[in-house]
Amino acid sequence: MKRKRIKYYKVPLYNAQKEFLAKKDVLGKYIPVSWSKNSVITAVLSAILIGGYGSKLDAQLNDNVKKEDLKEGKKQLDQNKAVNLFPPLFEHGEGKGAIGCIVTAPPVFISEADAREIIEEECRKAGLTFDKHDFEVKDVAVRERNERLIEVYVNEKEGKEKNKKLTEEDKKRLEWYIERMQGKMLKLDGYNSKIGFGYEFISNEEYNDVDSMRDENDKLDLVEMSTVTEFNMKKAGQKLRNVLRKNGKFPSVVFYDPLVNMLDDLGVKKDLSWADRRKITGEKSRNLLRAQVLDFIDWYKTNNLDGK
Amino acid sequence: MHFTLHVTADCNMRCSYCYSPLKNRSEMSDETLSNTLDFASTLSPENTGIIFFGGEPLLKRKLIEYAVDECKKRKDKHGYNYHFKITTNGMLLDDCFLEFAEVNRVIVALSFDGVKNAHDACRSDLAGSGTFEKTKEAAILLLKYQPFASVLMTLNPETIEYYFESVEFLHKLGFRYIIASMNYAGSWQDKHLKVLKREYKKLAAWYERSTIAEKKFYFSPFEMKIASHIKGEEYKCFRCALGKKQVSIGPDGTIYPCVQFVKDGISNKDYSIGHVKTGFDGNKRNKFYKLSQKTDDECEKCALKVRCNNSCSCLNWQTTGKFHKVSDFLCEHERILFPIVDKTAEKLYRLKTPMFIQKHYNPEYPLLSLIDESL
Repeated sequence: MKRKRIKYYKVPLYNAQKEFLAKKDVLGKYIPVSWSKNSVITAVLSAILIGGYGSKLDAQLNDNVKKEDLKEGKKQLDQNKAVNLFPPLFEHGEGKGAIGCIVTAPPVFISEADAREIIEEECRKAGLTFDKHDFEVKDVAVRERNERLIEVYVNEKEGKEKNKKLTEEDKKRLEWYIERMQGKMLKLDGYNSKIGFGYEFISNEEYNDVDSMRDENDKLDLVEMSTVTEFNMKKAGQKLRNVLRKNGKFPSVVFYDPLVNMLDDLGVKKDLSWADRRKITGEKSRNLLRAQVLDFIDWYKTNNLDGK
Repeated sequence: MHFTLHVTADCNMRCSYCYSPLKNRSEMSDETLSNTLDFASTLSPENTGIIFFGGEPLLKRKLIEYAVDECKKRKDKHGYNYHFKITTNGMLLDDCFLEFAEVNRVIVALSFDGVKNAHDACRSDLAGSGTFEKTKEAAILLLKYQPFASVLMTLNPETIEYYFESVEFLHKLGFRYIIASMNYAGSWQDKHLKVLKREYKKLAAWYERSTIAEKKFYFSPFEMKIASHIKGEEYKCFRCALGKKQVSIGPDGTIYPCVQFVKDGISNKDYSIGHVKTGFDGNKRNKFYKLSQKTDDECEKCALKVRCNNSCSCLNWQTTGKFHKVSDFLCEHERILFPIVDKTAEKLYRLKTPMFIQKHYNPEYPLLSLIDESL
């Protein structure tokens, strides 16, 4: 036993108070269930939300907070409470990768079927099952309907624009375009209709649709054409989560493909065959997805959504 | 400012780790008490904290009642403000005293080491018998009157294997404020460190589960370490300011920089920093304070320096004889505890666990928590 100087200690991955409270209305977003049932706490929290923290609160309470202000605070809290039913994105795996001509370390994707199996297996253990699959969320479009292009293609197909005879192949091509432009509604991979809660896994097949969605934080990016397709699953996951949260009608958890790349330094021996490497990397990727699900289950229990 | 009044050096128990020698049995007189209150009230009229301490303070129940009464008179006459606290072993705790405490707002803290195996191993009565059953009865009675009472547990090398079990036991018994302190002067060996680490890991899992389940509790080793990161610069306020924010008053009115220096109230006068009749000895008080602000060479470049418990001069003096030199065990303890606590806090933060967020980030948490408990 001896005294020993620590040369390096990593900065803990939880915010300092100042940083945390700098985020707008942040305390109102995370309210213990027992507090949310207590009208006095709700009123005091409302006062805090309106007026800031510390001595200001005392001053406000003493000055008899205006009723309208309290109402406004309460409204804000209720909104936050509803928003709070949306779990955060549980981050395990960077979700970044690329495929295409010059890519030397492609990721191993998790298929929709594999992901559903992992997610539902872990959820089942926690007592959460999903009675509906591919449950359509009618007012959340993952691909917007493009009226202008539909009109262009329909006109072309019907020969209104140019007076030329279309081949069957042309018609098929235009049908395909029209179909693409119809838009697409989000379908949740699983949904529990009893408690009104679902999940969605973003796979590589769905990535482009989700990535092209716009949420309030998006800036307009220039479209780059390339023979390489890049993925940022985590960002897409965050985006889908924000869209669902803003919509507010279908509380759901979003998982994303963690995308472990085959040449990542994850203890994979260099002399392994491509197939073995793929197998090991795939397993690591599935474990990361499982970690996302386990974090979600902790969250699910925390918020007593299981009613226990 | 807080004044810890050692109203007696006598005790009705014989705990193996007690740092107060048995040879003298001095007691505080009514006159010394009165002088102490005059001294304390003029120094800190707006907020005077009076802590009744011992020995076992309830052996001097009449003196305590007299003190509270005197404070009331001073409040009426001069407008001074007081708050009271007592630390007891519970042997003499009864309805009568708790009713008195309720009326006069005396906060009672109970020394209780946890499960029978842990408690009885060190805390025995004058006949050498364990006091677990009696302490448990006192705890149940106390919680009836003061549901928010603190429990003070001391951890020893011989009983460290019961650490988690004891915390869980005390929490289930109804204590929400669990203050756990190591007996740093104990004979700690490497084999105990392994057990300590194992116990802290179990406690981390318990802390996580309980926070997620929105249970209300304060478990000092974890809360303090989390605060040391979350509060940032503000955390410095929690650090030792020897003889400045809190002093101990021995039975004869001698002022000491902190609790451990009082001993029997007679044999450790080298460390006195004044007397309630004559006031502070400014030179000695400042000398000790300056010594306490020094940092051990080994700690100076340590990455945990700011967050660590190395600044507790009272503990350092008790274990190494120097105000600024930490003991090997304290250093080992801190190095075991920090990574475990931070990992737990990181997870609870990542999950945005509401109770964790409110408890550690909401400056109004104590008020909100109190409302939640009261309604």
